[in-house]
Amino acid sequence: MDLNERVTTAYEEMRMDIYRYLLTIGLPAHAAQDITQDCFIRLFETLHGGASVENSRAWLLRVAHNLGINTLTAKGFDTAELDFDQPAPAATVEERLIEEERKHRLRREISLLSTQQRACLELRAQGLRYREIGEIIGISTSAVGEFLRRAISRLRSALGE
Amino acid sequence: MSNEHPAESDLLLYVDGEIGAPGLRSIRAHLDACWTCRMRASEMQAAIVAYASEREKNLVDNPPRPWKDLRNDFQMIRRSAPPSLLRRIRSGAIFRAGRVAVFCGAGAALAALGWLVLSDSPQPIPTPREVTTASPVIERPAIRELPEIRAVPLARRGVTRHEEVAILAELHRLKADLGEPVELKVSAGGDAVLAGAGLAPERIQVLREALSKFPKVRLDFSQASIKAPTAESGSLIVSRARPIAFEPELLRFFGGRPALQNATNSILDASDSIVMYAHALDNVEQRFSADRRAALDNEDRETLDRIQSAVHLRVLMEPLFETLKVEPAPRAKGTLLDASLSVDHLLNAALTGAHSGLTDAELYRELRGWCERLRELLQ
Repeated sequence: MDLNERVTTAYEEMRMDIYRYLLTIGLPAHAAQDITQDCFIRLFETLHGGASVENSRAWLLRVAHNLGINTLTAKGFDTAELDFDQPAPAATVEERLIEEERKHRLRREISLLSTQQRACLELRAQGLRYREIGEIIGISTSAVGEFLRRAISRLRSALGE
Repeated sequence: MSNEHPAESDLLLYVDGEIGAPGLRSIRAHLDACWTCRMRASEMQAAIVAYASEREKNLVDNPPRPWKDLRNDFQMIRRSAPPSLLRRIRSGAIFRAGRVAVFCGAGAALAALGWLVLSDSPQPIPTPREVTTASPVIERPAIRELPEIRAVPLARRGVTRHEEVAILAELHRLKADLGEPVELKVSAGGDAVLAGAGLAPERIQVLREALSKFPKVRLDFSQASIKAPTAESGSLIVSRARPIAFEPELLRFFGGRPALQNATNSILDASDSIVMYAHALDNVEQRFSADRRAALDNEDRETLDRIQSAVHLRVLMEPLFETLKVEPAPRAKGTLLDASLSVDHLLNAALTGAHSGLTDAELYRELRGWCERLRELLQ
């Protein structure tokens, strides 16, 4: 597989993950899309230049994170809030009502997590290890653990244990 | 079984497959015997599963425009910059093109030329090891195109221990080690890197200016622009699992639910800061273990001692303990990190209804005991 095909395949497979991460850290959709595309162009450029990239997902997320933060700084976007705050749908059966209420609390709690907590959760959900997450967002592994611990503790509370 | 329940952070590392072998054995042994902790781990697992499931279902909408076909961009990159020598070697193109002989010939010629140059050089004769690493002549023609191959190793210009202590002292002076999410690391190249997350731009500017006198410090505040959550932005504990301990008393004490929620957030934020601070001190302790500490001069040692002791904990929960007439549990033992994590865990249980396995009265007694231990360690 030549370089063109390799990066095109990676683009098709991973662009939604990168895009989703950028939304998580607060980029508006149009900027997140531009940056996602830019990341893959940079990946091609880097590989074409002869450098090797061992873990392309982590590399792309790191570049996406840096470009995302630069964009937020330069354009002064407000950190976008995720729209999880939907009203709990009405239900007819009591059990369903309880379940819906539980989900509603969970969604609301997710939307109220700090950006760092959401970023760590999103990256962990994408399968990255604490060390990789720390490298991507530029914090220590122990800080990643703290952000995740706090986030999960809040989600636990919201779920009603 | 070990009598001490694992801290929430260790339990998360266990649940998340991030714990090392020694810790893994001890937590597993504890969980085999302790139903309470098994339940805590299972609740944690349930929260992770619920988040993952919610994330799967709550699919992200497609972006506003169709995805761009990048092949034209790739083509333009190809046209504007032909592949590097390294890439051509990797892909085998250079060999397929039948230029092996030319390449080898050029290499041999340059090797001979290099030998002549080096043999006339007044530099000292390199040791055998230097000859091996430097590969002085054969590799020389390729250096421009293969930047990762160094003909002559660069001298390491790392930060010294004295400078490291001075930087830590400066951070301490700025109170940047008091729970702010910053961490001083030493890069592979020996430079000091101050990494941080979520700091306000004005704060970064203060740190940047203060550290500008240390040329070997690099700042890496990649999350600088992300605003820290505030009470106004909604970083509140809005839902809880069960009625919290002493809820009617707390509501009376704080004067209503909104005030209780605000107080809960302030207290948990303070607890977060203490945990971060305890981590920072733990890092300092690990960074300056006994042998490294022994190598410092007296002045640096005193500076380190000041960093590690001159901390004042704000009065935490004290008026509430008095109102609720809480007697502290017998004197708790443990390091600063243990104490801060225990306080954090118990505060979560006390103020948000998270599970603790204790009755309300026991919970507050334990909390007061650990708060006193924390204050003792920090004063």
